[in-house]
Amino acid sequence: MSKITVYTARRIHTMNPSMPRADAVAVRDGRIVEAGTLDTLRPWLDVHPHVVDRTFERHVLLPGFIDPHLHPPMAAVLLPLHFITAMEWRLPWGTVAPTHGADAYLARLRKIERSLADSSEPLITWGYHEIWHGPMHREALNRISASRPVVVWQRSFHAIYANDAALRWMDLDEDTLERHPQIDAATGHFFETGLAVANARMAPHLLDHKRFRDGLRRVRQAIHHGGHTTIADMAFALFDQEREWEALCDVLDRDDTPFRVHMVPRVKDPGSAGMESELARVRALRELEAGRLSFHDHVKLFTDGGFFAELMQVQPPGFIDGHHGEWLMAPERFEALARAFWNEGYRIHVHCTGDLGLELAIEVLAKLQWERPRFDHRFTIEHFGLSTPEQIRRLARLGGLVSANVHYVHELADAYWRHSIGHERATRMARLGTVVREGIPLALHSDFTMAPAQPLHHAWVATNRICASGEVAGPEERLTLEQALRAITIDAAFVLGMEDEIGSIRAGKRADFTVLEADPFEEPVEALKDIPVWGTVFEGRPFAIR
Amino acid sequence: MNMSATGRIPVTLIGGYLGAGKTSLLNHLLTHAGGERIAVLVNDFGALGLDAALVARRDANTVTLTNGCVCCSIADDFGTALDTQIRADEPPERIVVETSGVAEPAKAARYAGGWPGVRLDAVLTVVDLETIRSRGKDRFVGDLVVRQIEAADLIVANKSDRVDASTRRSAARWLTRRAPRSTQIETSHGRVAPAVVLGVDLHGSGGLHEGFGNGRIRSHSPNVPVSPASEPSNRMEPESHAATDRNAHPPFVRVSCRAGEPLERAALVTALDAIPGTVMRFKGVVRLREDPDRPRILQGVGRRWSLEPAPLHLPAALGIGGDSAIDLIGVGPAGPIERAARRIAPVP
Repeated sequence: MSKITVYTARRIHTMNPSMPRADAVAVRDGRIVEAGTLDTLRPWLDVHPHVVDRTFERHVLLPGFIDPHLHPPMAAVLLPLHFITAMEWRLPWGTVAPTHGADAYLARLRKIERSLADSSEPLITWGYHEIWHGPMHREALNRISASRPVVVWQRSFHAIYANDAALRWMDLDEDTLERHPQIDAATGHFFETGLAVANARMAPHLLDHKRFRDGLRRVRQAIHHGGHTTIADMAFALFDQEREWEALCDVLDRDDTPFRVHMVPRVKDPGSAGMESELARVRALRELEAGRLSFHDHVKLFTDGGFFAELMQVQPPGFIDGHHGEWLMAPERFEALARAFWNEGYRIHVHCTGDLGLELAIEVLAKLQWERPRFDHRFTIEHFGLSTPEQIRRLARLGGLVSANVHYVHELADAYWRHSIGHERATRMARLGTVVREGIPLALHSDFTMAPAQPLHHAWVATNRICASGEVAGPEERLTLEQALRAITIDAAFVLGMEDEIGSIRAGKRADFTVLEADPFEEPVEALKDIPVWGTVFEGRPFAIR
Repeated sequence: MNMSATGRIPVTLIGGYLGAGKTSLLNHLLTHAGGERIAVLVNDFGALGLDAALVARRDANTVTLTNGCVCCSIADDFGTALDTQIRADEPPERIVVETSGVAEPAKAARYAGGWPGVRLDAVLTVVDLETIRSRGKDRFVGDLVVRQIEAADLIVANKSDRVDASTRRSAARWLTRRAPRSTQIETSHGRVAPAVVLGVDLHGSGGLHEGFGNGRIRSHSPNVPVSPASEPSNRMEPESHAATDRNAHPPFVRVSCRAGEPLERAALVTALDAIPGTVMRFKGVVRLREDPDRPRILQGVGRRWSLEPAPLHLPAALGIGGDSAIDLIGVGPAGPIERAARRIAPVP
């Protein structure tokens, strides 16, 4: 057995309601011996060799943050892109300041173009949004560069603009552009199905072996930067199972990776191959088990389309412009897959963004409970964009959980009020106050890169509900600080079925801590997102953010 | 001759909700392809239940049939599946795509219509006559099912053997109310003649220059004078044939017409817009008075049609010289279809 290390701190918030505060914690072999004070720890220290490490004497410790839903492979594609965004993005390699206005946008783009050494390297930027950055045009991008491919990727990933050099790079002739109903050749605008044409041409570049691994290394850095010690990859695999697993192992399964990854398989419809074949495929994934990456008895299913893309399925009165959301699989197939995995005892996570998608998930959960009741099943609604108070009440009675992307409120409440679903529903998206009042365990997630991988940012949105405009959207749905911090620690652990191991600081758990430079309980709650993260302790080892 | 002048492979979309019968329609199509090299892209080829005797080769994503057709899995990526076909050593003459049961057909049409190397031929939506009315009211998928019907060029009203006459009539009325301009064909077990699913093959047997008589096609005497196909005339001369493909698909009618004089564009447009709902497909080469030296390809499915420049060598290849020649494929009595043919170029 190794020596005990005692970390002292200005304050330790254990997130263990039985003993919420401490100022020292003893750690041995990656686990917590106990939390308390140097005095209360004395019986251990009298008997066992130990050191007292006072590195955190001026810091505040919380349990290691947990993000129970993000997508490292997706983020690996995105992070190598150049960010020009309306919102601030704090990334380990620098903070991206908000850019507002058409001139400022193009000036920023020109600056990036000039900073690139290799004159043929495509410049792909992400974060453009017409509301903030004005109309975009092929000619404007030609003025940025006549020779370098320049591609402007819209914030929600559903459109791009390309300059002439990019069209040549993608090997797309004018005729193809002219005849496509969702490509505007004049402006270089590709959207919806037109974007698929461009994506197919860009894929070899974006998914290039080296670029993808570099992207994953950035993901690793960003996750550490946010103060996480556990994340869940909430849909394995997104692209190609073998290649993805290999890259994840290469980059993340290393001794110097300061977090573990809970891998949640994406269930695929086996069709004529039969449900047993899909159950067997998912069961076999558990054998993959690598040090930092592990599979458990959790699976991921989907109901409706993306929230940023406005493809969520919405109950009446629907969208202002009358468009429709989409189903990611037929409701009957969703039900059949959920039943198969429910009956095998799996914990099911369901991507639901609109309130009709949620309705389907709740209705299926009610059927499954009727057919084969389960207690502690942890059926979890993921994302949780739109909901009604009545749905939340039913969900509570059926034993469902919620893992929410609360960042929606900050970024979309204003825009969706004005352009999508109106004020009442837009300002009450991510209705988390009601969730907590109904006693539903709640986690917050980033769905990175849909939102920044920064748990304190999400806790800040959940406690303040301040939108991009500065208005407060739905003050009744704000959480208390305590509730918000539970949602990024102990209750996030509960959603992942790991609450016995992580999520609070108590005797016997993994020694995972997030080290903060200030105490969230002393700072004004409006400043929560600005509390600097010193770094983390992962299984007893300190990892400073450099 | 299925490629248009642009060399793009035509793509036919088969849509419709889960359980409507898309798979059996595709199975029937592959089994009765009649010499055309068709690539069928499906979500799940295990579900097709292809006759083992028809399978020449099989690998993880592709089944090659003895009749020259292939059947491929779309997996997760429609675009990649299309590219695989377009870039094949021997690209197919036609691509038929089974869209997912929850696909918005209008969106799938934009996808396939704009994809480099292909062009959209038609959208067929298969509906299950037995369940369509309850599906149309379903709170989760009712709107979607209605949009699938609205987006169809042709509605295949399937499983007619499972419903009684009054259910069939009320379902047909319901379909017409939801999609008043739609063209419907009723069948069971997904049996629809390839000529209806894919349209007329101008070069193939039974095409414009060969007259009729393929298989057990039955000629029936049109009540208009018939002149030999090779002899130009100033009139459109409809000929019609009711065809029954061995106890397989329901009979269809094929009407062929020719005109020796160029057609007036305005009159042609009026005639095409008034085409009856029993005409599923029409295709041909026409010459317009405004520009008689430039042959054009006319293609129609249901009530949607297009006119685009034809390769200059096409009329010679088809043996129709300077004539306009059009084939119509329809169901039900021949009379209305023949009258439509006559309106396309009225007897002077």
